[in-house]
Amino acid sequence: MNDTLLWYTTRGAGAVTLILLTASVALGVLTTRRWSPSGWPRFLIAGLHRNLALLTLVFLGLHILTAVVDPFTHLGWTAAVIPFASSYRPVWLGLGTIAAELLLAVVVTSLLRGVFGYAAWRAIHWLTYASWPVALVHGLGTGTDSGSAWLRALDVACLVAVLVAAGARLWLKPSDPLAGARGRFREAVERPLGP
Amino acid sequence: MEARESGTRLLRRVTTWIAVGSVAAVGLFGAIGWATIPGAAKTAQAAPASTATTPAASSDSSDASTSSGDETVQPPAQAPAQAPAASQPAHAVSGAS
Repeated sequence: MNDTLLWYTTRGAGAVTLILLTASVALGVLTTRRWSPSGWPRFLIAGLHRNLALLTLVFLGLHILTAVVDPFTHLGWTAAVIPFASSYRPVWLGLGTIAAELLLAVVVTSLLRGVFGYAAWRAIHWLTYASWPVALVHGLGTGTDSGSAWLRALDVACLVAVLVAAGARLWLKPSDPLAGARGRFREAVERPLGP
Repeated sequence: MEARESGTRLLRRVTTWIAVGSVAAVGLFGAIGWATIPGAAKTAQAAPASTATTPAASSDSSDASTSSGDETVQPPAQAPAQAPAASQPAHAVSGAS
């Protein structure tokens, strides 16, 4: 395959992965407030959140595969799996490896949620809050054109989207009148039984 | 039940469009990267640009009547181009001194 095509596919797939991850994170943040647009029941929003996360994995795989296969970069599979093992921009690429592995852990435990149980799934799902900013910083520092205006604009747009979603989560009241009762019940169920 | 099925169909349709749009976006972002990365587009345009500028360059050094386009671009080719101008160094030397 043409080296140039691989190089630009890596860049394009990385940008798309960030957009999809941002959309998935923002939807996930909003669904905790039981938010849904008119005409869209909540199960559809939850399904879209899950599908976006799976699409994120697909394009993340394309991003990693094209970067590793590209003979110009000489990254190798070691750098793709072990953080900071790359000779090329080890810190920035290492952040990308960490973000990818965190995301993989989140998606796999979500798919196997029945096996792990709700408490373990929820604890691991919080890793998304670490994965997304690490992925954003990876995009800011890696690549020849990371400082270009269009990529900076994309990064800022993703940042604003997640901040708006987080702000809505913090400041908006839940639309579910039983949210408080559900939370207390969940805490009571998850609390380990004392002697 | 019907509403749930229609909702599921809607979700499938939206997901498909997002996937198709994402594939298109990979191409779009790749093209933008190609156009904006310094050196990438220039490298591709280097060949026609050099042929376009070389006639002007060779016309400037009109003494080098035998040189082709590529020779005037390359620095080593200009050095020999000055060698025939060694027939005129009298002007240059006298002007300098």
